[in-house]
Amino acid sequence: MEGVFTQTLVSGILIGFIYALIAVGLTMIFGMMDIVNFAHGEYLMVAMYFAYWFFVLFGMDPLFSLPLVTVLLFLLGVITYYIFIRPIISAPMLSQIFVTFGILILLRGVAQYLWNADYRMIPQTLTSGNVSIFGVYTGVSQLIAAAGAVICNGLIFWFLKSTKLGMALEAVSEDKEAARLMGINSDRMFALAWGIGIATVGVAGGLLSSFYYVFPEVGSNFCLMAFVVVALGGFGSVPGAFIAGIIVGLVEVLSGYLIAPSLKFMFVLFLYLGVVFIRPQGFMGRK
Amino acid sequence: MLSVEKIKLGYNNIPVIHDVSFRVEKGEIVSLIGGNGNGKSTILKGLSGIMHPSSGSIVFNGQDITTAEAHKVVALGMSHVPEGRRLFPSLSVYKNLLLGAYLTDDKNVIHDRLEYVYSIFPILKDRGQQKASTLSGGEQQMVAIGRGLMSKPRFLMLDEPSWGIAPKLVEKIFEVIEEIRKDGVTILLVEQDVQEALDISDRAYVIQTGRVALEGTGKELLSSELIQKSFLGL
Ligand SMILES: Nc1ncnc2c1ncn2[C@@H]1O[C@H](COP(=O)(O)OP(=O)(O)OP(=O)(O)O)[C@@H](O)[C@H]1O
Ligand SMILES: [Mg+2]
Repeated sequence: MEGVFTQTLVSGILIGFIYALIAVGLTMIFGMMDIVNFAHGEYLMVAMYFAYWFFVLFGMDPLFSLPLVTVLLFLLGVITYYIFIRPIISAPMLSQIFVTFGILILLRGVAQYLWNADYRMIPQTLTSGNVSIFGVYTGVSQLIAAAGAVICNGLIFWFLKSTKLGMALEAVSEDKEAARLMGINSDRMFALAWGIGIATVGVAGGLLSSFYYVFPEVGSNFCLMAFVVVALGGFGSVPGAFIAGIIVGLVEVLSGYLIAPSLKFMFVLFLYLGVVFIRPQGFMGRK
Repeated sequence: MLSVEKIKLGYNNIPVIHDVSFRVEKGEIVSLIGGNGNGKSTILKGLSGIMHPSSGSIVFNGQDITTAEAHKVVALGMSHVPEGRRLFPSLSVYKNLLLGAYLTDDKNVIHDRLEYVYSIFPILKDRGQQKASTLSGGEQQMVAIGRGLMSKPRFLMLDEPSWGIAPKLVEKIFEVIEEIRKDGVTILLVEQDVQEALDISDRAYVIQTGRVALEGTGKELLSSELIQKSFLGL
């Protein structure tokens, strides 16, 4: 009994790291330009399909195709910015919602058309199998995915805090107009934020593909969780998203284990509502 | 150095500035004065490229910058310290200053500029690691001016530097402005503190409802009836 409980805790923390990674891109894009990317989960889906097809067509293990998938998703993010987001950057919020929601429908439609609704899975990867660490069993893939998510989050944090480009991104998210007066090309920074924001979800997708089914709607649950994480951690806060990710992961698996698996999303949403009422700016949000 | 010809500016097609013309010569301190909502800040935004005139022209150092983007204008040596300071609140004072020198990667240049800013506002050196939002109004204004100087501008625009700071610091800020001019920077000042502004200005323009209502030297304006009645309460 106790063993199962620890097991559950660990799996909650591991999946929480992935939620945090997905949420970081979302929170970054929102923090920069106040645009909520409803299609965020669909980019995760695209990344998972990329990893899947790299395996099927070229026999590349998801771990090896990860850099490739990341770069492709970065480019996809930049392209998305220039084609869809730039024209609506100062449009009313409703138009912005329609556009990112439109991207969601577009990407899902394309996936359904090209690859139909089948659930697909990479049958055997380098990281298949289980390990036991201090008596707790966990999948190697899950462990590597969680480690990858932590490293990626750390890199993003380091980039924002310690590089000149990161400082410029933060400046734009704090005050666009003042940033322009410093000589920062805010348009380029927006493109960069989309590139990085979508690349991080690409990393998450690549990591997930080694142990998770891919299908056209796979993004929706993850995206929902990422939204809760962002709201919980504070809109625009990277460290907030990290902590909130772990909490959401824990609440999800614990309520699934202690109460009922079918109700786990409900408890995550309860948690969300609780935070919204008690501390609307999230753990580490501004204002 | 700067010549503004009949510019029109507005927000969402609502005109605010109507055919305003003025000039600033190299080495001068020129003030734009006028009451709330008359369009002074809007003029500065038009100059620094945050907004673009719908007609008229702006020539800076012989170069037409009427439609130039803000990030290009800074590179030409014009620096705009905006109204309300507009610091990056959750970044440190040091990072705020560094961002002022965003366009240069030369470590030596950045170091020299930092030393220059610290020589004017020594307190900023001690405040380096503090979040900008935790400073007092006066210190925040120092960061804003310091940040504006980090790009080594030839032309500095200051929008209400005396706003929201302790009275004894106001004097200090005006002294600093004169000091900066002595170091070879031309200054365009927007102020509500008309007495102080005219005292240090070579020339000034009175802006009323988006038009130039009056212009003259600082001394002339101080003794003009319009100024005495509307701004100095005499
Ligand atoms: N962002 C904006 N959107 C719409 N209208 C604006 C905006 N900013 C200013 N205005 C309007 O433009 C006019 C001029 O404003 P501006 O801020 O340039 O005046 P100001 O002379 O700088 O006043 P103050 O002394 O209060 O700073 C005002 O009528 C103001 O309401
Ligand atoms: Mg103003």
